[in-house]
Amino acid sequence: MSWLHTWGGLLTGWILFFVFLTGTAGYAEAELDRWMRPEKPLVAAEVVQADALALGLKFVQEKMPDARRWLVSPPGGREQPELRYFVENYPETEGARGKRQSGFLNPETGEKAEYRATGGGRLLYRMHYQLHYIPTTAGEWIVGFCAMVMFAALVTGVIIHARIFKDFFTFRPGTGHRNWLDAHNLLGVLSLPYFLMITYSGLLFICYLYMAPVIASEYGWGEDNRRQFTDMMFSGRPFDRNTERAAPAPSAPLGPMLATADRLWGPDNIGFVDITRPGTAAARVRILEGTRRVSGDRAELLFDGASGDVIDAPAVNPVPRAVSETLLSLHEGLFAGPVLRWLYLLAGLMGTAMIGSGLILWTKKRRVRLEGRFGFALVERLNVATVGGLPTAVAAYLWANRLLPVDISGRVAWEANVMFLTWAALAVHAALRPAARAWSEQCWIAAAAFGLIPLVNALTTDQHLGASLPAGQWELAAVDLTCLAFGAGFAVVARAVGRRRQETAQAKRMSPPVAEAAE
Amino acid sequence: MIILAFFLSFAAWTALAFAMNRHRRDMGWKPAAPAQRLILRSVGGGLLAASLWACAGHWGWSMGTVAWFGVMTASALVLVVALAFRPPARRAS
Repeated sequence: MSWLHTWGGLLTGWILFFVFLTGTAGYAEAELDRWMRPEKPLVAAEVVQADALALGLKFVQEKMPDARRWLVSPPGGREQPELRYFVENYPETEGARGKRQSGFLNPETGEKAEYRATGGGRLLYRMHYQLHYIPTTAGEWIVGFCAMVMFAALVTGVIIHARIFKDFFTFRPGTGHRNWLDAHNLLGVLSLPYFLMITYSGLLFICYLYMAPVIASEYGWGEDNRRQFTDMMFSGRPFDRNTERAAPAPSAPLGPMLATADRLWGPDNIGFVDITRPGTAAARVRILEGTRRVSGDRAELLFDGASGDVIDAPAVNPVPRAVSETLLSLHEGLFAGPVLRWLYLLAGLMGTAMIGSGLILWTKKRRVRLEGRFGFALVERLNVATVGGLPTAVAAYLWANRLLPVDISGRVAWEANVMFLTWAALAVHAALRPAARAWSEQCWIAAAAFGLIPLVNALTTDQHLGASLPAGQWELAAVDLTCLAFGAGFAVVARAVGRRRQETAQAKRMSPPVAEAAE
Repeated sequence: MIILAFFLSFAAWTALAFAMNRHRRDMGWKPAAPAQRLILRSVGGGLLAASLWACAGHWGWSMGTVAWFGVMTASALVLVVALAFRPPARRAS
C-alpha cells in the first residue's frame, strides 16, 4: 500500500501538479478570458438577450449563408459573457471536414468584435486534460493514466495514513520532515471529498478512451459509433452529423421557437441556438437552456427547421446517465456563483499543494539516506522546476498576453510558447543551481512574476485596478488582485525558505553533531 | 447566510478539536472528562448539521450540499492554521 502510494505518487506527481494547477486556473476560465481581452469595453453594455441573438443570427445568415451549421450563443450570465458564433461549412471534398470558423460579435451592433488573439483561460483549462504540443488523444491517455494512479494514491493514502481522525487538526510547524508530512496529510484529508470527486469524475470524462471495448460492445467500433455513444452520453440523442446537402426548402420562422423557449425557461435564459443544414428539408434547430444546475441537466428543444414542429425529446433520463451527468457537472462546477467558485478554487489549490507537498516530502524523507545519488538529485531538481517553476510559467502566460505585439501572427501559439519557454528556462536554472538556493530563487522569481502583473497590466492597458475597482468590475479586478496575493504568498514562502537555508548553512559550519541536531 | 454557515462550521470544528486531548494540551487545558468529550462531540456534530442547513438556506439543497463541503474545508483550514500559529505565550504553558 505504502509502496504504491509513494512510487505511484512520485512518478505521476509532476504531471498531476501540472494538471491540478492548470485545472484550478480553469475554474477562473471566464474571468481569465475577460482579463486577456482588454479590448472589451470596461463595463459591458446592457443588452436584451433576444436582441443580441437576433443580431448574431443575422450576421451568420448574411455572411455565411451556405453553411452546414450555424451556432449562435447570446450573452447571458458568467459562462457566456460574449455574443459568439460558430460556423461549419459543408466539406469541399467528399469525406473531408468542413471549414470551421468562430468569433465574437459586438452585442449592440452585431458587427465583428476585434479582440487580440489569445488562448485565454480556455487554453489553460484545455491543458489540464490534453496537455500541450502533443496530439489530443495522447494527452488524454497520459492524463487518464495519471488520474488512475492518483485515485489509487488517494485510497492507499487514506489507508496508510491510519490516524486520520486523531491527526485531523494537527499541523506542527518547524519540525523537520514531520511538518511536510503533516501538511501533506492535512491538505489531503481536509478536502478529501473534493479529491475523490474530481479524480473519479475526471476519469469519467475520458472513459470513452480507455474503456473503448465496453462502448464498442454496445455501439460497435469506429469513429462514427463512438460519436454516437458520446452524443448519447452528453446530450441524450444523436446530433445531425450528416454533411450531405438535402433538398432546399423554405425555413420556418425562428420567432415562435424562441418564444417557446422563453415560455418554458423564462426570459433571457438561452444557452445557444444551433441550426444544422439550414435552408434544407433536413434542417434542425436546437435551442439549449442557459441555466446550469448541479445535476448537469440543461433543457433542450429540438425543432424541425422546415416545418417548425417540435421534435420530442427522449422522455427518460436513465439513472446511469443522470449519475454520470451529475459527476461531470460537479467536476466542472459551471453552476457555481462567486462564493462557491472561490471554494472550488481553494479546493483546487489545496489539491495542487497536496501534490507539491507530497513530492517535497519524498525528498525530505530520503535526504539523509540518498543525498548525492543521481536519482535523488533528479527528483529534487524536477521538484524545484515543477513546484517552483510552473506557477511562474503560468504568470508568464499572462505577461505574454499583455506584452506580445497584438498583430503578430500565431499569437495564440506564442502565448503558450512563452509559458513553456519560461518553464524550460526555470528547469535549466533548477538543474544548474544548488537545490536549496534554487528553491529560494525560484520562489522570489514567482513572487515577482505574479506581483508585477497588475503593474504590467496598468502599463499596457487602461483596464488596470485603478479603473476596474472604481467601476466595480470585480471579475476583472479579481484577476489582478489574485495575482497580487499570489505574489505576496510566494514572497512569504521565499523569505521562509531563505531563512531556513541560512540556518542550515550556519549549522553546517558548526561541528557535525550540532549540525545534525539542528536538522 | 454564507457567513453564518462558515461560522457554524468553524465552531463545529473547534468543538471537535477540543474534544481531543492533544489540542487541549496545546492550550494548556486539562484532558476532557468522558462526559465532557461526549458533549463537545455532539455539539460539534450538531453544528456541522446546522451549517449544512445554513448552506441549503442560501443555495438550495443540491448546490448547498456541494457548498457545504467547501465551507467545511475552508473553515477547518482556518482552524488548523489558527491552532498551529497561535500566540507563543499560550504555547509555553
